[in-house]
Formats: sequence, structure tokens, C-alpha cells
Amino acid sequence: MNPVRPPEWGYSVAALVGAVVLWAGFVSLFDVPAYLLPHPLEVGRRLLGNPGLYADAALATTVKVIVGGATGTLAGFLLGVAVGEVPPLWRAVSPYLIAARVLPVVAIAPLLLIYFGTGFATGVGFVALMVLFPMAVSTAAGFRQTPQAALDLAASVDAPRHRVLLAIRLPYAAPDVIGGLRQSATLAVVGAVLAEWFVADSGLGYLILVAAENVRPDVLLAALSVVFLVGFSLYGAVGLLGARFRRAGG
Amino acid sequence: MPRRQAEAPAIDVRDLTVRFDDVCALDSVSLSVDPGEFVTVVGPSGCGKTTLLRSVGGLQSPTAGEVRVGGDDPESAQDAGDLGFVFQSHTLFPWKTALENVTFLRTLAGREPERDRARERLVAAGLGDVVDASPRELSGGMCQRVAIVRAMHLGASTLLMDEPFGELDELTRYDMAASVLDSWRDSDRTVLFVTHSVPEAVLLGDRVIVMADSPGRIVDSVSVSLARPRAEATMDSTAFTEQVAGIRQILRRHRTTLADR
Repeated sequence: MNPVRPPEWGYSVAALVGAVVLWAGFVSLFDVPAYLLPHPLEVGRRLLGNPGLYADAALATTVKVIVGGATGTLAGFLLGVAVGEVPPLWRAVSPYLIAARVLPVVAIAPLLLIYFGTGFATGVGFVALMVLFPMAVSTAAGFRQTPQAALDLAASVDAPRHRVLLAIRLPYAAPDVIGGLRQSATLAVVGAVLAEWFVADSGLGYLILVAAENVRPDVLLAALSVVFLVGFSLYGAVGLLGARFRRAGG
Repeated sequence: MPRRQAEAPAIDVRDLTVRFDDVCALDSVSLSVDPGEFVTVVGPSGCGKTTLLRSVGGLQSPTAGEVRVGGDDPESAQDAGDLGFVFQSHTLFPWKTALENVTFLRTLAGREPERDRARERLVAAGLGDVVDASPRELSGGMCQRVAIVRAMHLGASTLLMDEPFGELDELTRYDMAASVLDSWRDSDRTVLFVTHSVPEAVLLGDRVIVMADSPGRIVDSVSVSLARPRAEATMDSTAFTEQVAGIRQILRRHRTTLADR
């Protein structure tokens, strides 16, 4: 008989359950006061007691993540293609692109406030800015992965440039582009929550801020677990996209 | 074997000089290859044999001199899909099957892929079992076979092969050489074949071009007097051994020793 093997995701589910059990045990064992660290069941009760609040907040955040993330990754991708395709542009711009990753985007937020005010556009802009540079760097690096011999082969039949770009360079770049998307998925959630601290009057970030100001760790943790769920789903979705691409022959 | 001497040369190189910075890769090289001729090029590493091949294929622009392929410049030959390259590394695309790789070069060249014909060619090359396999599943020798079929399928009248068996083991090499000879015999293609193996050059070529380095130049052109069809057994004949020895002597005579540099 074959031993029963748990599925791949079994391990991560077990880790999550284990962490929650440890948390519950810690709180019960040491009698931690609820204003410091509430029991997980208490957090669950918060979530289920007012699901509309968290669902609305999650929706507001997710919309920012998706709109800002899509805009930012697309812009980053196009910038990356341009930089990867035109060697002088790569030499000119790549040091700044890479250095830009150390710039805390938080520091740029006040500028966005000045330009876009305190509305939805600032949130989206912030998310877009958050993912732009990593996406551009990954894409540009990917477009430099094409082996010279493959380009020689294409040149030997005088293949048109757009066909070389789409049929040769893009597939060679795909693993890096997908890596960039993966990074962007998580960064976009961070960006959206941060943006909601600065500007918005809705969303999970806003909820966390309000909960913190009112010293309500149960609400804070409930909101945090929803942030986690949103980030996890998004990361998973991008991961599935990558797996699908690999199966298709990447 | 007399070949069609009257036609314009398939490859015509005149006074070709290629410099990289201050290094002279090729110094005033001239070479003429008849249509349908199989010419091999041997020489030490760094003698410019690959540069010569790349110049003929239009991948390297000359510093001075002229290259003609079928009476036209290499760029026109590229445009007409008239140059079939086989590189040292097989350059198959890992996300495509063997068959898709074979048809893809035609697609890149803006031609009909002709899948059925491509499949026939793969079967004829003994690759019938791996038509739909990914290059990742194939050995180095099989990948290179697919790359050769790809070059044939392009339908180019000139094949340019740059040490195509360089990364293969000894036994596979001669196996591959035999299959290249088979497909060449059934066509009227011109082949320029670069190698660093003298026996391989003699086994394959109607003529062996011998090159030397510092600067890269042609020092001799040796007609191979062995009858065709040739096979691996050809290499056991005395005539073969003598030709190989003769070419090795030429190479030795022109060798730059480390002390000369």
C-alpha cells in the first residue's frame, strides 16, 4: 500500500492552524489581557459580528490594489521593455531604476497629496508607484535574458523586430516578468494600506488606523487578518498564472 | 566529382578584412564556393573561422572587402531566407516542441510553416519518436539534429554550419556527420562548414580550407579526393589517413607558437 501523502497545500494550512493554536494557547495560558492581545476567537467574533464593515473595507482596498496595481505593473512592464530593448537606454536609466527601489515611496506620498488631493486617485497613484520600479527592473532584466545565439538565428532570416520581440524575447523574459508580478502583488497591498493611512476615509488601512487610535486590538487584528487574506489571494492568483504559463511551455 | 562550374559562385568572399578594435580577426581573406559544393574550414581557435562564417551570413559586417551570397549581399540573402544557420549550441526554443522549432524559423522568415513537410523531415532524420517532445527532454545530439532539420526546412540554398558537433561526443559526432552527408546528397545545397576537427573536415568536405591565426587568414585550400558516398568506414581507408595527415602538416607549418607572440 502506498503511504497517504498530504497535498502540497496541506503543509501551509497546517502551519496556519498551528500558529493560531499557539496564539490561543499563549493568550489562555498567560492570561494576556484582551487590550494587549485578544484571543483568536475574540477576533473571529469581531469579523463575524460585523461582516459588512470588513467586507466593505476589503472591497475599497482591493479596488485600489487592482486599479493601482494594474496601472503600475503595466507602466512598469512597458518601461522595462523599452529599457531592455534599447541598450543605450538601459545603460542610461538602469542605475536610477535600481536605486529608485531604495527610495521609500512613503516619502513621495506628500507630493501625491499635493498633486491629486486626498481622494481615490492618490491611493491608486501610490499603489502604482509602489509596483512601478520593481516591475520595470524585473522586466528589463528579463528582456536581457535572450541568448545571443537566438538573436543571431532570428537575424539570419532577417526576422522583423516586432516578431523577435513577441515570439522570442518575451518568452525568454517571462519568468522574470512573472517574478515581477509576484513581487508587485504583495507590494500593491502594502501600498494600498499605507495610502489609506495618509489619505483615504475607507479601506482596511483606514480601519486599522481607527482601531489603533481607539486601542482596539481585536478590530485591528480582524482587519489585519483580512489584509492578509487579500494579499494571500492576490499572490496565489499571480502564482497560478505563472504555473499555467509554465505548463503552457514557458 | 565535377560540379556546375559555369554558374556564379554560391559564396564569393573578396579581400575580406574584419577588425575588432585593434585585433585583426580576418586579414584579406578570399574564398569562392561553387553551388552545391561542400566546403569545410579548419584552423586553430582564434583563426577567424567563425568570423568568416558570420560574415558570409551577414551577422558580422566587414571592415573591408566584399561578401556575396548567390551574387547578392548577405542582407538580401537573409531577407530571402536563403541562409540556413546551424550554430554550435542548438538554439532550440525550450517552450516549443521539436516540430514547432522546425517550423518556427520559417514563420520568423515570414513563410508558410509547412508542418506536414517538417514532420516528414524529422521522421526521415530518425526523430519520429520525438516530434512533439520538448528540447528539454532531448539529448544534446538530438537537439542538434533538430536544429539541422530546422535549417534544411527553411529551404535555404546555402547552409552555414559553425562547429555544429562541437559539443557532442566522438561517436555521436560521426553519426551526425553521416546524416548531414545524407541530407546534403539529396539536395543541391551549398554548405560552408566550420570545424576544428581535421578528420571531420576531410570526411565531409569536397574541399578543406585551412586557416591560420594572428592574423586570421587562409593558408591553403585542399581538394578531398575521396569518393562519395562517404561513411564512417571511409575513415579507415589509407587515402583518408593520408589526407588528414597532409592537412595536419599544413596546420603545423603555420602554427604560431606561444613563444612567437
